[in-house]
Amino acid sequence: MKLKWFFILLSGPLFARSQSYSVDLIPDSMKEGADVVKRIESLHVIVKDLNKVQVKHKYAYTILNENGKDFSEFEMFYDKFKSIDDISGTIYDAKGKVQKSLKKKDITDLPAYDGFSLVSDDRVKRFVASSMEYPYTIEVEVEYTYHSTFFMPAWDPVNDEKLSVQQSDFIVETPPGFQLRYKCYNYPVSPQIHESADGKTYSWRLFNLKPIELEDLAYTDNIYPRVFIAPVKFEIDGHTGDMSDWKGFGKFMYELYVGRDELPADLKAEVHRIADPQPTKEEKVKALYEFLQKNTRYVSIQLGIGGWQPFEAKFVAEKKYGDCKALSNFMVAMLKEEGIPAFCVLINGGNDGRGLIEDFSCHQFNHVISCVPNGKDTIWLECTSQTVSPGYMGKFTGNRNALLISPEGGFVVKTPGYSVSDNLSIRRAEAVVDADGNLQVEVRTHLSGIQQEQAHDLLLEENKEEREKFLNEVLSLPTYKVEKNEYSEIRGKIPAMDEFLQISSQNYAAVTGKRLFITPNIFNRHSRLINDKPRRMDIRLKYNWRDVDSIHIKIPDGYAPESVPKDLSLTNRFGKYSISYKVSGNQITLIRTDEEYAGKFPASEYTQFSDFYGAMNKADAARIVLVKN
Amino acid sequence: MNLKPFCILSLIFLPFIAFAQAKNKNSSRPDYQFGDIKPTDFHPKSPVIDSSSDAVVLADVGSTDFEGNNNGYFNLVFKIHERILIRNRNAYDAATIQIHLYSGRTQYEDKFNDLEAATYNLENGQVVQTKLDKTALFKEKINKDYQELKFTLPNIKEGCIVEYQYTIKSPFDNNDIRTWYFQSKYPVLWSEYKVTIPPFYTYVTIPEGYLHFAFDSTWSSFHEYRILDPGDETTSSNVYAFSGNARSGWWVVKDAPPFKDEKYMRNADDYISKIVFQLHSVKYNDNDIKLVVKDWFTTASDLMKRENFGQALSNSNGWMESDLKTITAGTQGLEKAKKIYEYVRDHFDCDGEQTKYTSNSLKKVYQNRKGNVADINFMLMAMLANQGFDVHPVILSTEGNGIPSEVSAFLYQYDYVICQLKIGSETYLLDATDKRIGFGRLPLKCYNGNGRLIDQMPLLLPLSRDSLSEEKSTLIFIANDEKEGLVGNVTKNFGYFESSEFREKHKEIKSSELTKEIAKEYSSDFRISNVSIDSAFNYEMPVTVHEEIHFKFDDDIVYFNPMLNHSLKLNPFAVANRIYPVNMPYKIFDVYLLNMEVPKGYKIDELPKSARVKLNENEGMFEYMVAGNEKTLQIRVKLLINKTDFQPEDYQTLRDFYSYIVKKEAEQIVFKKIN
Repeated sequence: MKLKWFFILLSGPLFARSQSYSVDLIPDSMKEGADVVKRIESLHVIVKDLNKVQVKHKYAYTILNENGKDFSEFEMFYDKFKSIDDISGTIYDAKGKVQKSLKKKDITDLPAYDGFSLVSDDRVKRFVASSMEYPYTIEVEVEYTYHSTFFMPAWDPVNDEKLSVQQSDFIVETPPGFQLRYKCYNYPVSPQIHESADGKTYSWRLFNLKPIELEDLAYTDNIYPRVFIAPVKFEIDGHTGDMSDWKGFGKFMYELYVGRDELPADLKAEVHRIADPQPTKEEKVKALYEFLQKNTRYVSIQLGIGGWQPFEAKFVAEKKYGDCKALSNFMVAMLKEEGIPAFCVLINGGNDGRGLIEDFSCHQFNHVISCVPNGKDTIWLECTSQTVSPGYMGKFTGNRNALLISPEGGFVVKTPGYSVSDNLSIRRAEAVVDADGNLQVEVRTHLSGIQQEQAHDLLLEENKEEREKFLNEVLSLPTYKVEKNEYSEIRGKIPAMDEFLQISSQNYAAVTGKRLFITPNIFNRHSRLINDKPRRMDIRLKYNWRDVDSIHIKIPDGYAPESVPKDLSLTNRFGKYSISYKVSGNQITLIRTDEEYAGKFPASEYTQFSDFYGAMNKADAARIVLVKN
Repeated sequence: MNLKPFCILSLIFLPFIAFAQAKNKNSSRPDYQFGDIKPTDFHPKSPVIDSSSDAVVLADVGSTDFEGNNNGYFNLVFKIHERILIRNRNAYDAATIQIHLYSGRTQYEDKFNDLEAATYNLENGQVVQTKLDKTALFKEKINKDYQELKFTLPNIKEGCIVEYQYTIKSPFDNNDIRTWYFQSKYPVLWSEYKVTIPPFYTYVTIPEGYLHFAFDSTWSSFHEYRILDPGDETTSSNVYAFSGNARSGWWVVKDAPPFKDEKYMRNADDYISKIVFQLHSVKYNDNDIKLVVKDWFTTASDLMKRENFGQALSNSNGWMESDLKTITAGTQGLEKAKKIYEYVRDHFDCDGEQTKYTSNSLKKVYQNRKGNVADINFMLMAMLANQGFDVHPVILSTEGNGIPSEVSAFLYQYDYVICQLKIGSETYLLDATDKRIGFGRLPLKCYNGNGRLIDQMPLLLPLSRDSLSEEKSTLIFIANDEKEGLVGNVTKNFGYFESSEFREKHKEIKSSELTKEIAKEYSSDFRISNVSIDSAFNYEMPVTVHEEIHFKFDDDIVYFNPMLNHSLKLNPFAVANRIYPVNMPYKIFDVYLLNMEVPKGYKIDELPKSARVKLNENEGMFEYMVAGNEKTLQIRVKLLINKTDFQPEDYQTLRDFYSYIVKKEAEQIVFKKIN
């Protein structure tokens, strides 16, 4: 009771001041470029004890136009560790007059499908509080409780690029003796800390932030303000731990895995039968990994602590399925049986390449892989895939920091990144264009690293018919048919694919009267960027790669070149590009190389960068004009 | 194979063939006993299996029977037994089964029973069975009316067989014999459905799709049904026994090829082979026959009496009168009707649920300002009626929901309701559920065969795609400019449906963003300015976009595509082969006109040739006309598509026609510098 009173005292004056939601009170400068204005926000976190964190979140959005309509939707997930205690919502018209209050029946409560789990205990509460007359304001108050200190909410006041913020507060109350850790992004000062006999209160506040529109290829970590909080000591479902550093967090996670690696006797024998004859550690790992790939499949089941704790290895041995934790744990168990030390690694899977925050240990993972230490050449294993090569991580898990969990605790490790010479596309095409402009081409492409991922999936995750359908829709050629396609996989730590396509395309070359217009660069056109405003944000490029195309086109007899594009060669910090055209006799030869580098580049270099892209785009689309003699 | 765009709808009235002797129905029926898997089952042979078959449904056996229950009525007993060979890991999903069960009103809850499920692997020539552990059965409530049962089979490997069977008992609630699909995304070697119906009920069976039945028989046989009436405080419980000739039907499809969706296919579901049941009449004794499927006259009049349909129009709804007065102040006739239409369209939010039945009373909908399609369109009708307009509901079936019968009153075929308004001799069809549709226009999805006017004279209302023409024109004038080289004025008059898409995409039109978007469509040699839009928010009219383009000629020889960025670069019919008919969204009338001054200092060296091609005589036409002299040059390109549905055998012609357009529109004009 006492705490509640305290809350009112603190927040009372604050809300009283901005209680009117009349749209007239929004300064014009805050409406500029915005679809939505966050009028007020208070995210109030009250840590009661290690098993209870109360959150009171109140906010009001003024929705200026239809583009901001999504902000009328409220959605909150909950599960065994999070309960939603109270939700209220009110819609106000432009003058700030109450239009409607939300009723209980307006709120739906449904299981939350993540799209891949067979079963999970996640549920979601949802409502839509919209009005037909813009602008309008919705005010939401929601109270929820975490029954654990393993999770804590983060403050994310600017949660959209077309959103301005008039005021947002983040308040965290902790009981005496509770140690709170926090990490601020783009918040210039330290939080205010108030200490009393009841504990400590931390507060952050923001005023009058205009919308920050995102730019292409931007790096968002240094743009939006954001604050993460986490405990030192915590509890979840009867398990306790200390997450003040990654070592401690990893130790806790490891304890959830401990003792769950017992294998049935027949499988133990099988492990030795498979791996013992192999001469090296690499070969043993490979053989067991391939056994795993052949004999298990991915099925996700997330219930309670099972969201963090793997099924026992026995379970996987018997049912032949499991989720990422269960399959990784099972793989590690098999390796252990063979006498090879291996570990589970918690990671953030996804193509955005985001790794863990190195100086702020807390729960931030969505995936588990396993790894086998092997001198300088650690072997990384994705245990949920039935097709990927042992040791390959790729776009989904490569090149980022992750947490290895061991009896000694957690260790931050980096998964392998891929260099220019790992990510290749080496293409050679032999083509014939006839006098009607029809093209016949045979193209052989050697792809490796991240450049082979699509071809890999096409061969191994799709059937012949789906493969043909895809190939016949994906190429930017006028009326064409892929007459033949062949793929072969070259497994390895840097996996590769050899692709052979035989394609016919009607009217690839345009014919007008006596002239024939041919674009020799058949397969590889670079994109371009529109550079119409001064660049504000730094540029982030995620991958390294190299493309080499050599295209040989036989043209009909009796034609002579009238116009041949100029050769071009560019070298800069972003990459290296060259293209050359040659016509000799009835043969056109195009050699193109394009090498580009991952990295972060300052906004000031954007014009140079977009010019680079623009020049490549233009050179790639260049035509040779031939005239009939 | 000749496929009609409409399904072949054949009606079998079971009672009329009650004495037809069944073929010896078990003569060539393979015996499917649960668990009886032989090594040969792992290597089935069938013409429909090929290298793309990730899985093969070996058997899919279903039945529906009636049984007396303990609540004084019948249960429907649905049994299914399915056996699937998983040939490779792409089909591992087939090892996870999801079953939806009704759990809304307690007395009608589905009861799930008798689950058996197992995986079989062939190991050293021996069939090894792994049974499903019943603790691995998960149940989850997915909404207020349904729960989902899920399980995944253990020990799945490439080449294994999964098998499961279960029973669902559902208290009978008129007309819920399940539809049976004979086709799936995998080849199905044997699919059968058997239905036995007590003498009280008459069903119409509606087979759809184009596969032929291997067996198709009906017969009658003596059945006894025992129903327990549990009684209540005043009456004691009683057992009633009914007996008579029950009628059975048995349908089998063998070797069904996998069903595949293709582009330009409006009602994929119409092409899948399936059998649908519609309760036709109920007869408890000779003096008490209740028709369920009636003629359209009776159906329309029944609908108008329904609380969730015609009731909204049964009184004058006086409570809305004063509000309507304010809304329509100073208007009358057509203008007034438009005001009301716009008021409903702009002030009521459609939750997206497509249905012909309202979910709430008019008053509630009025308060909430939102509802399903029927709620909103009945609101529109009630308001118009209140103001003295002549309105009637029209029910229809939207795209994807199948084409409704032109004859029979099968209400289940309709999923949408709109408003027909008559003013004098003019008739308008109105739909107020789409914010970007104008008065008298309907969303594209409503054009799907036909609709039915619900009135004393329930007329068939054709809503064919052939009645829609997307008319588009692009006009470009390019002139020499002292400073800039060449300046062009572009006017793009969009077709109506393209306008709707444009409006949906640009909810708030910002000219700087639009300019950026248009700039992306041109090559980097063009500069774009002065972009403006006409009738962006006048939804009765199509959108017009104006833009100014600036470019320059420098080289000695300049190759110039007179289509600018308007050429068709890729053939929309990319895939070389077609199984099902092509359904285009509308007919097309598209004109492109370019007038250009010959750039200063240049002369025309070569022009593309004029040409005209026809698509199958009069089904379409493409015309490319070009003319030029020392001073000016003109090109006119016209594309006409005069019908919307093309048979698969016309596919190659259609593809070639478009291929020709792509080719012709890539042609170049050659300009040479005058020395």
